[in-house]
Amino acid sequence: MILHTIVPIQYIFSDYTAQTRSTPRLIEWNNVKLEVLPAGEGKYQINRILSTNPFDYLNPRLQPGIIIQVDPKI
Amino acid sequence: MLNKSENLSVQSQQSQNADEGPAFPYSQAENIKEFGVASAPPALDSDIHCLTIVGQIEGHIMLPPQNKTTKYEHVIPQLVAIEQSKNIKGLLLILNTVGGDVEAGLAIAEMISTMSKPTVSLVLGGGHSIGVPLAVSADCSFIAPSATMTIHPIRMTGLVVGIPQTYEYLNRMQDRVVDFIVRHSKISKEKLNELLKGTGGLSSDVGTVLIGEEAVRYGIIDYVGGVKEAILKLRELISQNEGGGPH
Repeated sequence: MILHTIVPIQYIFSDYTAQTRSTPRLIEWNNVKLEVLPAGEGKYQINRILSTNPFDYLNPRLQPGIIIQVDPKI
Repeated sequence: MLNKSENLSVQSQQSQNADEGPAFPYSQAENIKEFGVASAPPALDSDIHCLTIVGQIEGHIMLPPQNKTTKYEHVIPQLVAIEQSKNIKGLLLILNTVGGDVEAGLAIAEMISTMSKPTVSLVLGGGHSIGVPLAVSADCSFIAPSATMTIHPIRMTGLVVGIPQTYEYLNRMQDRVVDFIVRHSKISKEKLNELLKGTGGLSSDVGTVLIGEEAVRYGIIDYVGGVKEAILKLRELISQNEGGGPH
């Protein structure tokens, strides 16, 4: 990997080994596969969209960082 | 409870999404259930799409969480959608980036430069390092008078084998960036290489800092301007693209 940036490398990778992220998991929500991080009871924060439909990436409801509510399956 | 204006905005959003696959079956009222907020982001009536590239451009390696990043795997499908959408007529690219992964930056820049729709870029704050190819990738580029662009050579991270081939490899990687900038702007390769190797401009590196108008003088950026000028130019390019003359 070649980083071309004005930010010193030691700032970028200062806590590279720190385990601050929770493990992402894959869910399917409204027929879109999402990589999400748990964000409380039945809620997930979108980390990444895994879709082959490019318009899913422009959908304002499917942007990374948005919290979605997933109903438990009965 | 839905008032009339909210109803209208839902309708306009649905009609806007008409060519973008099936609309989501949720009305505004269900936003509380789905998102925990009272209203979704307002539906945009604009035919211009604004893509902001901020922080680090994140490539193949996920950067630690203190970095603010723009992820290429999200931006690239967005550009595909913008290219295909019937409603979006032009792309405004706003840059305030410190640089980042060479591969990811060049990937986004190549995507933007090969779009059929009019594109205008605006550098605000900073468009450093790999942000320079991104700025020049648009049909027309603007820079705010106070914005800066740092032109400096690429570096290598990780294990570097100290052999002449490493130098040759770095040179070729640098040429990818330089060639892209030269292809899409008015600066010559010799002049750009001179800026890249400039000394005295940066405290701990070789390179040159260009502020606002200087970037225009060297031919990297087309005009000095702000959001007003950028939108005006984009509108002009859109009307040319549609077959009409400028306003």
